[in-house]
Formats: sequence, structure tokens, C-alpha cells
Amino acid sequence: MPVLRHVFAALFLLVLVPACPARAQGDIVLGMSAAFSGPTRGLGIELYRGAQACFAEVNAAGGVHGRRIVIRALDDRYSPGPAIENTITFAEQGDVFALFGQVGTPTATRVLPLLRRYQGSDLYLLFPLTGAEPLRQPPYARWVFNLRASYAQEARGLVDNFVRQGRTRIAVLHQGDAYGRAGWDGVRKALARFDLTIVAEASHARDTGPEADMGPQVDILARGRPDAVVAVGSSEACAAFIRQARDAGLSVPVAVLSFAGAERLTELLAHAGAAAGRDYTADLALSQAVPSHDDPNLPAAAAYRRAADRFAPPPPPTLVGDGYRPLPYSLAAFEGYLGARLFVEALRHMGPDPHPRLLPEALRALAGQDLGMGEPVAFGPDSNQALTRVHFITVERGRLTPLHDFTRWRK
Amino acid sequence: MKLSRLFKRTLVFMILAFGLLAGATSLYSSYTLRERLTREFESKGLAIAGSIASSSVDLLLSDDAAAIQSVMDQYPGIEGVRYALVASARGEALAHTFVPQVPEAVVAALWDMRMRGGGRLRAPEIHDFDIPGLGPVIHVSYPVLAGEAGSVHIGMDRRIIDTAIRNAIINLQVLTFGVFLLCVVAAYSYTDSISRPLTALAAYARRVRGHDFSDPPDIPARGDEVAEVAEAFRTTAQELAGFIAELERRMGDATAESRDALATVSAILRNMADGLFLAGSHGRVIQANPALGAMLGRPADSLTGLPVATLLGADPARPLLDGTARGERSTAELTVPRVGDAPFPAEISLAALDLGGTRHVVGILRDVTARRQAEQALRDARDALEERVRERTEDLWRANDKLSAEIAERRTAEAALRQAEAKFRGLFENSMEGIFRLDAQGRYVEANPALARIFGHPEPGAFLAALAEDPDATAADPEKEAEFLARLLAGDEVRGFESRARRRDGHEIWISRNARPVRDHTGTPIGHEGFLQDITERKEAESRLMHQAFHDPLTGLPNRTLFLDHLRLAMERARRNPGYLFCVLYMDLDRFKIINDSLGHSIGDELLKHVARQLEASVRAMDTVARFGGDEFAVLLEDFRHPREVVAIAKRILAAVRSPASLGGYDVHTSASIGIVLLTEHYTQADLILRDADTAMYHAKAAGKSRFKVFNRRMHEQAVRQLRLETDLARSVRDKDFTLLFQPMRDVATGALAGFEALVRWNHPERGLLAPAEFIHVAEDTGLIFPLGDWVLDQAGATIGAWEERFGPQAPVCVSVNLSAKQFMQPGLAARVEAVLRRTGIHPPNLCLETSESVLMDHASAAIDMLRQLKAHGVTLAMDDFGTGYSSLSYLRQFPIDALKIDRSFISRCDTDDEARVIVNSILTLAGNLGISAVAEGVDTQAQLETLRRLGCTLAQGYLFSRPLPRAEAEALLHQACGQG
Repeated sequence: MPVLRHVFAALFLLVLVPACPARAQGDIVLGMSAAFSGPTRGLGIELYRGAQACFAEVNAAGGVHGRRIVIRALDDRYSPGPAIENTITFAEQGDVFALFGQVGTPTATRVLPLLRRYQGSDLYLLFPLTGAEPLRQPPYARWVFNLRASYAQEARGLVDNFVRQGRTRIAVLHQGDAYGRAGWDGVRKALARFDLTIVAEASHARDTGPEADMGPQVDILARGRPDAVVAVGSSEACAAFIRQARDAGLSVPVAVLSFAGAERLTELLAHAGAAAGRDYTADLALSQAVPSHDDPNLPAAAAYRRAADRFAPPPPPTLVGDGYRPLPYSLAAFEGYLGARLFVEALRHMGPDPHPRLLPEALRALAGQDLGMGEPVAFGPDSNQALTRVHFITVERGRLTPLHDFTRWRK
Repeated sequence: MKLSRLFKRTLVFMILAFGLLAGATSLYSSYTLRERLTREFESKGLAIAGSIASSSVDLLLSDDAAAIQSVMDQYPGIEGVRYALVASARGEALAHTFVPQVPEAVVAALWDMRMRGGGRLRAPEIHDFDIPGLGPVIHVSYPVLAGEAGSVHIGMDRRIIDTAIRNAIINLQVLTFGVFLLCVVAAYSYTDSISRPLTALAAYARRVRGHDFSDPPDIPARGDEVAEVAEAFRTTAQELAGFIAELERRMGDATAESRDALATVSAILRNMADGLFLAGSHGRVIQANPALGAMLGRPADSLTGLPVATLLGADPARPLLDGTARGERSTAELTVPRVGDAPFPAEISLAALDLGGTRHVVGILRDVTARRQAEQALRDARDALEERVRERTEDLWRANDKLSAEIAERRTAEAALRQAEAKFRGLFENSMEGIFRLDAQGRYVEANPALARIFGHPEPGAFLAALAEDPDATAADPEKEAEFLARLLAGDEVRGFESRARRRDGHEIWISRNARPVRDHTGTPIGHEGFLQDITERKEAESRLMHQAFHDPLTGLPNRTLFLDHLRLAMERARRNPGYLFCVLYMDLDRFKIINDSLGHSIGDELLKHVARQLEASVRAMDTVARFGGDEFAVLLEDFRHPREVVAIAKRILAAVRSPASLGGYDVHTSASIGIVLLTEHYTQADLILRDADTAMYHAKAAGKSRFKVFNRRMHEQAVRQLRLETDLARSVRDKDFTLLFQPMRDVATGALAGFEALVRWNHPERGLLAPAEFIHVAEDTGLIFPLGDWVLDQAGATIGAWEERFGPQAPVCVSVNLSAKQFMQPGLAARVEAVLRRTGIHPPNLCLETSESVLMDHASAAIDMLRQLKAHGVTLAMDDFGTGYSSLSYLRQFPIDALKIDRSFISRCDTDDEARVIVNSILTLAGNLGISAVAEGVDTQAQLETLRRLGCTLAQGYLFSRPLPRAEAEALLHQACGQG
């Protein structure tokens, strides 16, 4: 009979193994649908590389409870359609532990309903690179965990600072989609607190490149005689706008929301400035939803640089060969690194038998802990957002420099 | 490739038809597609807007613009959606898909919405915008939560509709063009199958025209119409070839025959004893025969080119030649000069002859010297004979006893007698008149050659033989022949006995005979002698004249004279035979004058001929159809049994005349009116029947034309009454039994007297005062209007003169006098008016002459002349009854009139009838524009006056102010007016 028992056991195993293939043993797989091509690909690639730097370090040290963490990356070209397709793919594959690092508001907001669709499968979206409000509000907030401060918070920070300096006529340039609208809405609501309204607004297409003509938008905004302009768009669009606004003589400070990668923006402006023989980087205020990797006071920043130096993760394998040159460090990669750190901590908290079902509890358990990010993790019963502070940086002599107040733009 | 004309025509037709089809289907399908797609897009827009609205309710309520934008971002991907916008309840754009900003049109729409509904959009709305940069869109607005939460706006791209329509039309046209090409190919092959044989036939027909019948085209006998035509043509061509060959042969024969005949005639001419010449219209000889040359003592060929007058002796020949030139045939005797010899008497016959279109003269000259001498000799001999016979007889009686002594003398006398006998014989033989001798029973015993010739016999012997065989051979009228014989046998001398006779060839001729009995010395008739003339030509001329006298030359119908003759005969017949019925139809064309004037007299004449033929065709052979001149016809229907036959014939005539006639390229329509006198038995004069038929005809015309009326008692009585009225009126005009009344004319505004209208009244001995309506038409018809009109003018002039003297010429003494149509158109009117003015010395403008609008317009151009003549004398002119005559404005401008008198029919309704008021107003405006005054006639009520005052009418007359007044009362009014004034 012992033989028979072994046979039964084997049969039982055969039946069970396909049912829960990876969750019992093996790698922890994170599904990442992001822009790995197109104008916004810099953000996706850097976010991926930052996270990979963290996971590479963890995996090199033997993983979490002996399990490696891998990212399965699919390109959505910063478009909602592919983003939804990719998300469904991940959900149907069954071995994806969680969705990680969706880049952009238009993609992330469209993926949200899928989370509800797969609510029985405990599919969670972790640390998307967007500050849009729907990811922080019911009904979808319960399936999403954010790292960064929201666009509303960024906008409020910018508006508060400008108003404080007497700059009350705020104009908005925004991308013509949910992301742009989120930034616009943030500025609008922030201004409303002072009984102010947006004096001029203009939109641009989502895929606007750095060489695009922003003349009409500059004209529209200039007609509103703004004291400051808040730009809600990609680095490329913002660079194009800033270049033409300066060329057109619109010299008011331009604030750019964090989604526009600061390094990419600076690079584009410097490039354009070199070509035109002038400095396009003056009077910029770049708001940041995560702290800077340059901040010497942050332990996490040092850890990031160390990991980045050590592993220098390549772009996702599917995208090799499109000529993208990875940055040594970047704000987006740092954001990816911080998200990965949070996930690793949560995974550790779950113990040897992690399950997506346990994710919310594990992440909330991190609330109040200082993970070296300059502020404690702010997860709470009503908050699915880890960080709340908004940071500002500016460009001085071609370098990104922390901006502590806006007094230079006193009016 | 040469295309057949048949195919070209088909091609042109198909191009037109398909072009039309393509245009029509394009228009229609673009219209229906546009309608359908627009509806589709609108409903699609509504559906999309509805879906956005329903999914945005919560988001709008929570003011989450980013989430709304996220919902919306997917829509511009939908085909046809140009943009989407969600506005808050306050109308602010919360999210939209525009780059770089919301266009003005949409901002304006939102602003409008905010203005209209306080921001609330209650129901879906659809607008059409044309947005710069976006193009035309269907803008759909959709409320969210009934507008409480906000609104959704969708722009549907209209250009898609246009593109769809364009594509649909291109597809349709490509398809149509394909079908067109197919049809062209089909039509080409079809027409080719028809036109190819036809072309071959046409070529063959051209050859046939050149008499080439060889090698007929080979048309395959496919059993269709073309093959039938080809076969028929081939057969015809063959028959034609036969005919032509036959014809040519016959022509050859005929030419030979005529050549022979010509040779014969030439021989005759050369050899005849009489001289013959042919002269041209210029009077010069063209040809002459040798006999003529011999006669004139000239060589025959030298005659050619000489004037006939020279040849024949200028003086006697000219009238003769002139006569010939007029186409008469003449025979004369004249003395003809002869070269190298004395002139000689000759008988010449000249006849006109048309040769080659010009008139030629053929003359035959006969030397009658011998005959003259013979005649003279005969005459002398006869005289001598008579003298001698008388003397001889006396001698015989006296010297009976001395007989033997005188035998020698008697022999001599007998010899002379024989000589005379011989001479007489010559005369007998050569006379142009027929001379005959009959035996005591009237049988021909002797005839001269002329007589034989008259009866168509070559010589007297043959004539006498023929008569011997059939004594009645020449008799055409046995009664006359018996009468002639009876008179002869009674021993009378018969002179100029005219009768018909028969020639040998059967022709009838007219002859005139003189005969006297010949008695022996005992007085017993032994026979008769006489002469006979052929008077056929004279008889025919007489008969032609007779016909002309009794027939209408245009239509050939009997004229009035002949008709009356027939009518009298019919009356006579009816009187003798009470059962014999006849009736008279009098017919007049209804529109003849118009047709004559508009289409010309030649068409008018053709129409009359046409009607004449129709009439003849409509009646029976025994009836008489006559034309009385103009467009009047009369028909005498004889021996009918029942009046309904007459009615049937009358209807038949009306129908025949009504049927359009095609004359000179026109379809001429006419109709006729017919008057019928059916009961003819009590008439004693034919004229009266015609008069009554004429009366009935006028009743028919008055009743509406193209109908007939039968004369009845009522018509008769009416005619009698008319006659009576005419008689009375004539007497009254002579006795001046008329009165003038004066109706005042007043200023509408002030009521001041402005003048008078003179109105004539007939003081009828029995019926009292009569208004003009009762007698003016009679006066017009009878011409009494002229003396009456003169009387009125004189009276009016005298009255004005008296009034001017009493009240001064500036007082309102103006008097209007009405002129009737005839009076107005009479040529001497201006002179009469001038005479009145001169005689009375009145201020000319105080005499106002009025004529009705219809008179002026009916004779517009003549009226302009007349009005100008009158105006030249300074009188005032007015147009009466204005508004009834359909005035032509262009004429109205040319009439030098001073006033329009608005017809009373408008005035009487102007206070109650809007239409009449509008007309009065128009007339007043018209008068104002023409710069002349307007007078309202027949103002009877205060309301009418008020209306006129309101419309701005200045002058009026009517019973409201005053009835027509006798002169004394009118004077009182004037006195009053001047007293006040």
C-alpha cells in the first residue's frame, strides 16, 4: 500500500501544480506595462531600471525568503489601449503577483476598471508613475498603492508658492488627456482656494515632440498676461513650449509637473539652447513628487546610487537596440527604486508564504516607518499614498538644483 | 471609322439620357445620403454624448475633471467624433479634447447655453458649426442629470458625410458610365446592322437616279423591315428600269411622229395660197411663207424682221395689231401696199399665239382683189340686170307684137344674164358666210364651201350627201328646227334665226340663219335661199357675261341677284303648290374681320372660298348657296318635308364651318351664325324673307355666336318696335323734341359748385321724357346721332354763352357734353366744335367734351388724332366711364385729356367693397401721376362721399348733390354760388 500512497501523492501533485504554479515556489513576478517606446519611453525605461537596481540587489542577496523578484515588462507606448491589453495579459497569465509601475495617467486611469474586474484574483497596481486623482480616490483606490504625491498636491504646492510671491495670474499648458486634465484640475482647485481662476489655458497633443510647434499655445497663454505658467505635459512637449515661449518673449516662470522627467527636460532645453545660442533653462520650477536622488540627506538616495552603480540594469530586454542611452541616475529611476524598496519590505513582512491577497495589509503595515525617503510612509486607512511632500527643483548653470523657496520670482 | 448618322443620333441621345440620369441620380443620392447620414451622425452623436453623460454623472458631481477626461479620451478615436467636451453645471468646460484650446464657436455655444437656461441644458440639442481648423461639425449637446450636473458636447465630423457622399456618387457614376459604355456598344452593333444595308441601298438609289440599274446591293434576307425595304426597293428598281426603257422607246416614236407632222405643216405653209406670217411681240415678222412674199412683191426671206405695220400699211393695220396684242382674234379687210405695184385689198386674220412665254401674232393674208372685183361686178350686174329686166319686161309688154324684131336683143340680154350668173356663182363659191338654197320643202339643194366648212365637211358635195342621208344631221334642237321650217314654209322671210346646230364631228355650234323664199314668176314658192353664220363665239361670250352677272367672282357661288331670282321662283312654286316647303338660311362668319385684318386679305379670300365649298358640301344638290358679298352667305333650301331637316342642315353647316381650315400655312378657326326663316308661305316679297333671316342671324350672333336662330314672331315684333322707334326718333330730331338737363359737379372738399354735365332727354310724344339709354343706340344705328349731337352741342354752347354773360367766364359755368362713339369718330367733329365756339364766343375751356373710355381705347390711334384736333381749339376733354375699358397706360399718356370720370359702378361700391375702393384709389393715383383731375360719377350716399374724401378725390357728381336740373334751376345754383363767391 505504501507504493500506492506514493502514486496517489504524485498524482495529487500533478493535479495541484498547474493550479498554483509560482505562488507556492519560484520567482515573484511583477507585471509592468509602461511606455518603453515613443517620446515618453525615457520614463518607463528609467522607472524599470530603478526598480531592477533594487530587485537585482535583493536577488543577489538571495531574494526574499529565498525567492527572486522579477519584472515582466510589456510596452504600452503610453497608450491606453495597449495598456489595457497588457494588463489583461498579466491577469490571465496567473503567475503575476502584482502590477507594478504603470507610467502615465491616461494609461493608469484606464487600467483601473480592470482591477475591479479581477478583484477576485487580488490584482493590485503598485506605485504607478502618476499623480492622478482617480488612483487615490474611490472606487479604485483600494486596488492601487501609490508612492508619489499626487498632481493635485504638486499643483497646490506650485500655486501656493506662486501666490505667496504675488504671482496670482496663473496660466496652464496641459496635455490633452487625463494626465493634463489632472494637472489642470489640480491648479484650478488650488486657485479656487484663493478665489482665483486660471487666466489662460491651452492644450497639446499627447505625443508632442521636442521640435513641435507650440506657437499657438504660447500665443493663447500670452494673451492671458500670466504671472506664471504651469505646464502639465511630457518633457518633450514642455521643452518645446518653454523654448518657444522664451523665443516669443514670454519670460514669466514656468513650472513643470513631475511627470515631465527633469533630466530629460534639462537635456532637451540645453540642447535647444546650444543650438539657439541662449539659455532656455532659466526661470524653471520643476515640482517633484518623490525626493531627489541628489539629496545627500537621504539614506535611500545613497542606497539607490550604490545599487545603480553596482548593477547598472539594462533596459527591458524586448527593447534593446532602439538607441536609448540609459542615464547613470535619474529621478524616475529613483522613484522606481523607492517603489521596489517598498514592495520588498512588504514582501518581507508577508513572510515565507506571500500572497497578493496579503499585499494591502503588508503595505499598510509599513505605515509610519522611515525607509530613508525623508518622510515616514504615509499609508493609512484613508490613504493609499506613501509620500505626501512635494519637492521643487530648478536648473542652475545646466544642473538640477533643489529649489527651497520662490522668492526669486517675487512680484 | 465612319459612324453612321443613325448611330450618331442614338449616341447623342444616349449621352443626353445618361447625362441626365447621372445628374439626377447624383443629385438625388447626394440629397438622400446627406439626409440619412446627417440623421445617423446626429443619432450617433446623441448616443455617444448620452454614454459620456451617463458615465460622467458621478465624476461631475465629485468635480473630478481628470476622471472625466479619462472617460472622454477614448471617444475621439471613434469614427466621426471630432471632439468631446464636458461642461459643468455652470457651463465651464471641465474636460475636452481640443488642442490647443476650445474653439470660439463652442465657447459661444456654451455661453449661449449659460445665458439661455441659466447653465442648465434641459434637452439634447443639435447645432451645425463650421469651426476653423476642424471643419464643419454636427455639435450635439446632451444634458447630464437633466442639466443639473452639467452637459456633454460632442462634435461629429461632417466631412465624413461629404466624403461618403462623394464616394457613393463616384461609385454610382462609374457604374453608370459602365452601363453607358455597354449600351453604346449594343447601340453601335444594332444601328450598324440597320445602317449598313441602308447605306448600301442609298448608294444604289443614287445609281438608280443615274439610270444605272445594274448590280443591286446584296442585303441578306433576314426577314426584318430593312430586308423588306431592300427587297421592295430592288423590285421597284427593276420595274423602273423596264418603265424607263419603255418610255424612251415611246418618246422616240413620238418624236418621229411630230417630226413628220412638222414637215407636213411646213409643206402646207410653203404651198398654201394665202400669205402667212408670224410676228413677235415687238411687232416684227419672224417668219413668212413664200405666198406672202409673192403677194407683197418682195422675196419671202426679205420679210423677216420687217415691222408688220410696214408690211400691211401703217394706218389700217395698227388698231388691228393692237387688238391682237390684247389677245383678241380679229379678222379685217384692208388695203395692203405692194412693192412695185398698186395696193391691193386683202382680208387678214390675226390670232394671238403664245410661244415660249411671249405673245406672237399669226396672220393670214388673203388677196381678195378678185373677190372685190367680183362683188363689184355682181353688184353692178345686178343693178343693171334689174334695170334691164324691168325695161325688158316693159319692152316685152310694150313690144309683144314686135317680138321677132327683138329676138336678137333678147339673146344679148340672155347672154349678159348668163355672165352675171357665172359671176354670182363665183361669189357663192368664195363667200366666207355659208350660203344655201333650199327646195320648197326646206331641204338643202345647194350649199357653198363656207357652209360645208361650218358644218365640218370638206366640200359642199359631201355636206349635201350627208344631209341626203340624214336630213336631221345638223339639227341639234328639233323644236327650233321645226319652228324655222314652219316659218319658212309659211312664206315668211326669216332674219337672224339663232339656233344650235351639230357639226359633223358632233360638236354643237350656234348658227344664225337668214332665209327668204324664192318664188317663180307666178309667185309660187319654189324654194328658199339664204345665208348662215357660225355665231358660236359670240354666244359663248354672251353666256360668260350672263354667268358673271349672276355669280360671285371669288367663290363662283350665285350672287344676290341670282339668289333672289331663285327665291322668287321658289315662292312662285310654293304659291302654285301649297305643299311645297322652302326656307332661307342667312349666314355670317363670326370672326371674319379679325382673320382678314390679322392674316391678310388673301387668307380671308381663301377662307371665303373654303366656307363656300363647305356650304356646298353641306346642302343638297337642289339647294342654292349664294354669297352676298363680304362674309355673308345665304342658302335656299327647297322642297324639304320637315323643319328638322332644315335644323340638321344648319347644324351640319355650323359644324363644317367650325372645323379648322389650313390656309396659307395657318390653321384658321372660324365659326358662323345663322338666321333661318322657316315659315315662308305668307311672304310676298323675297327681300322681306332675306331681311328677316338677317334679323334672326343677328339674334343668333347676339346669343353667343356659332349657333342658329329661327325667325319668330317676337323678333318680328322687336323689329317693328325698332322701326317705330326709329321713325319716332327721326321725327323728333326733325322737330327738336329734346331737352337738356344739367347735373352739377361739386368739389369734394368744399362742396363748391365746379360745373355741370349736360344730359339730353327725349321729349317723346307718348312716353314722356326718355333717358339717353333708351334711344342713343337707335340714334347711332340710324345716323340720327349727328343732327342730335349737333343740337346738343349748339344748346350747350348757347347755355354756356348765356351763363358767361350773366356770371362772367370765371364762374363755374363749365358744361360737359357727352359724345357717342359715332359722333366722336365723325371726321367733321373738330370743325363743328370750332363753329360752335366761334358762333357763341364762349371761353373754350368752359366747354368740356366727354367720351367713354371704351370708345377711345377701341380706336386708340384715331382717337389720339381726334383728341389733339379738339384740344387745339382749347376745349376741355374728359374720359368718361373710366375703369371699364381696359385702358392701355401707354395710350392713356398720349391722350391729351384733362380729366378721368370714374365709372359709377366703382363709386357705388366704394364704401362697402374693398376691391372697388382699391380700384378707385388706383385711378386717383393714376390721375395724379398723369397730372389730370378725376371726377367721381354717381355719388349717391354720404358714406361714398366720405370714402372719396378720404381717398383724396377732388370732384364728384351724383344724386347726393343734385339730380339733373332744368336750365333755370341750374342757373339758380350758379347765382347762389356766385353770390356767395
